[in-house]
Amino acid sequence: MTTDLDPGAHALRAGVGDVLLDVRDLRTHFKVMDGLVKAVDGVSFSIRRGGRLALVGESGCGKSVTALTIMRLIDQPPGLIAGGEIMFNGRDLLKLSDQEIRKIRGGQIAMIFQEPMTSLNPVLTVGAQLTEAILLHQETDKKGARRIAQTALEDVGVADAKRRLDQYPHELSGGMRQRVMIAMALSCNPALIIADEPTTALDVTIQRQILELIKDIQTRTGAALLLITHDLGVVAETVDDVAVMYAGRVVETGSVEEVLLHPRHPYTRGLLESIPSQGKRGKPLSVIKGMVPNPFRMPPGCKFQPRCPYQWGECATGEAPLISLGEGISSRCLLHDPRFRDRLAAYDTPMGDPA
Amino acid sequence: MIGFIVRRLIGIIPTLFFSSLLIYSILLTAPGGPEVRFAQNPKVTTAQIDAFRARWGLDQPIPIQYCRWIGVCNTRTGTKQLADDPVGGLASLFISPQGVPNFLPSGLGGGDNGVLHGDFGYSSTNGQPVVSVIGGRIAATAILGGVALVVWIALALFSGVIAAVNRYGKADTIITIFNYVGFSFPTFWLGLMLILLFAGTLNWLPSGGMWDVREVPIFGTDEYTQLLRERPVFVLLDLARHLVLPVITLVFVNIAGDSRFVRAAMIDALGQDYVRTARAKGVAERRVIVGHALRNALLPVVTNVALELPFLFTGAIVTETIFSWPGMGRAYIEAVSEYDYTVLMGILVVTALIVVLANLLADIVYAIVDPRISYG
Ligand SMILES: Nc1ncnc2c1ncn2[C@@H]1O[C@H](COP(=O)(O)OP(=O)(O)OP(=O)(O)O)[C@@H](O)[C@H]1O
Ligand SMILES: [Mg+2]
Repeated sequence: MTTDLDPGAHALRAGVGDVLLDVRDLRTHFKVMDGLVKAVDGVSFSIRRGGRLALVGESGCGKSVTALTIMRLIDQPPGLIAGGEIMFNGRDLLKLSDQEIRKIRGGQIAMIFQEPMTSLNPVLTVGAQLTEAILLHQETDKKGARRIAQTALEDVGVADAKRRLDQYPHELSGGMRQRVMIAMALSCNPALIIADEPTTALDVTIQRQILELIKDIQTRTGAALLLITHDLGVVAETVDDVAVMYAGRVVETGSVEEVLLHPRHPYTRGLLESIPSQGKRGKPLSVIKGMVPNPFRMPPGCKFQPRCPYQWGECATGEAPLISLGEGISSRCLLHDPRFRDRLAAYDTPMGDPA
Repeated sequence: MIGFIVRRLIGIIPTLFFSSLLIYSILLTAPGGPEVRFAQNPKVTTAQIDAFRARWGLDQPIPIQYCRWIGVCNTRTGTKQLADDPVGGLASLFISPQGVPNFLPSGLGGGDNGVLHGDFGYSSTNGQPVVSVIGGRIAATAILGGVALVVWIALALFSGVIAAVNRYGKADTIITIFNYVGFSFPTFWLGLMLILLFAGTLNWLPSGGMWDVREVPIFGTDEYTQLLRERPVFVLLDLARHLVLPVITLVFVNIAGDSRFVRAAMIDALGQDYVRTARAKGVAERRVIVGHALRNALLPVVTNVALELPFLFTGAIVTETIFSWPGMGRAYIEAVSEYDYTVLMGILVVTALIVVLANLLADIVYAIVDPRISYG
């Protein structure tokens, strides 16, 4: 990896132990016609107060479902939260009443969605949609809410904010709408911002601006950030910690340097090797062979086993738990099981990074 | 906005012209004519029938008959008369008595006959002006249709939203069954059963009519209006009692379509991203449903309802007949059975006008409720 990493981030993180969000062994399943889809089936990670964590993984691995479960926005049925805990500020979000979780939604946890084009209500003005959240979570009247909304729009770099308040979403560009979504998220000073692929639907130049904006807002307000993405370049620039997901599970966690420079799990290695970068110029790009497993026919052992170049007999039957390797680093691979220490030695030759 | 409405209003002129042609042609192709009602009467001689035809202008060439009815031609009759006319020939037919083209408004010196001048002729059965025959009937139909519409939209919205929110749940199933049962009920059967039960067996409600003939004068007369002013509660209660059964019939039989329509539109809206955004803001579920999803679901519903408006005028025929409601539907049936061509054509033209205006209304309302539509 040649992307610059901030060395200070690590030192800073080591000193802070205050956990804001702690997701433990979360399981969210969907009952569909053909059977049970275990979209999220063992997700664990935590974010410190003011920390920044990226949730990365291939399409369909359960990133959005994880985020929506944290917000308790999964429709039940067909969804079913089959197990786990979501400790937020010391309270389990899964145990809150509907009314209690509504206070948290938008107030303490705000979410920015992937699709700015469809995430705003087409028949309500920008102002109406911004003030709705403000009136719900802050002690203010309509006028005050409008002022706060205008300030929020100005904060996210929307020119002519006052006029924008009276416009409808269709009068704004995609980038502008995402700024409105971000303004909506920050308007109530949340402790945690969840951004689910906030830039995927935007064109490249705007992507950069929006990402900068989210980072900027995050540092200014001190809110924690859960960034969902499949773009590892974005990860390197934006967050301190990474959780890698595969087939509904977190398979690796660690600081951004550790995960990107010394990936522990074979899946993470595969992911990194499949990214084009300057150092690899001229060499063939490797890809992870095979397909994401069919949700109805999951391999009985390790879910990555059929595609894993390092797999051996044990992998087809046994699945490792998320094994802690210290300093927040963990891996869900049998190679890190103490029983197979000899195999790990062969695997652990550092990844070829010529830079 | 004003420009948009004016443009659309101008646009409906050709539509109305072609529908008048169509109405005229269809009635022409129907067997017989206004004189058919004498055919069964042995006392009426051929000479009398010819005289009847001449008096009503039925001996004229068909294009001239149409032009007179529509108001482009004046009403002078007889080709002989025409030959003596100073203007001379056929051209004089199109000139008003004041010497300007007949189709112009009478204020500008045009004629005063024909649909263009608001004259639909006279009923060929009782000689009354068609306008006054239809006028009172429109009011009666509008009252029945209006009340039915309000009840029906309210129930359709309510049941549709409940069904969508509880999709595939118990409430949805019950509403669906109710809708399909209502949809499958023949109007006449339901109407008769209601009369049998509530007017017959239970004797709670009148079996038909629009007012109590023993207590209230005929609807639309000055006496009725006067009584309404003196004892409004009494008259309106009487009217309400007469409305109950026909409104139930109309609503029950017709609600299915709209209820399903609202359900589909709501299910669609509830699955949209902006609904998730609203929930993510912490908005309460009731407000999410009404303030966000329903606001959007209303867009197609409003259009649909506006397009259904004419149906209340035409579709109430069976209901009005069963409940002896003195409305347009019953006037239509009476006109058909009595070969009253002028009244028949009057009703059809008014209906065409209502259909066209309802379409216009649908466009305008849609443009108002959906901020994305610009009045192009
Ligand atoms: N409402 C639902 N009903 C049934 N299955 C669902 C539902 N929502 C999600 N899933 C399934 O859960 C799995 C994970 O979906 P999710 O949207 O979390 O993926 P993702 O990691 O966010 O992917 P992407 O990068 O494409 O956004 C998918 O296989 C999807 O089919
Ligand atoms: Mg997603």
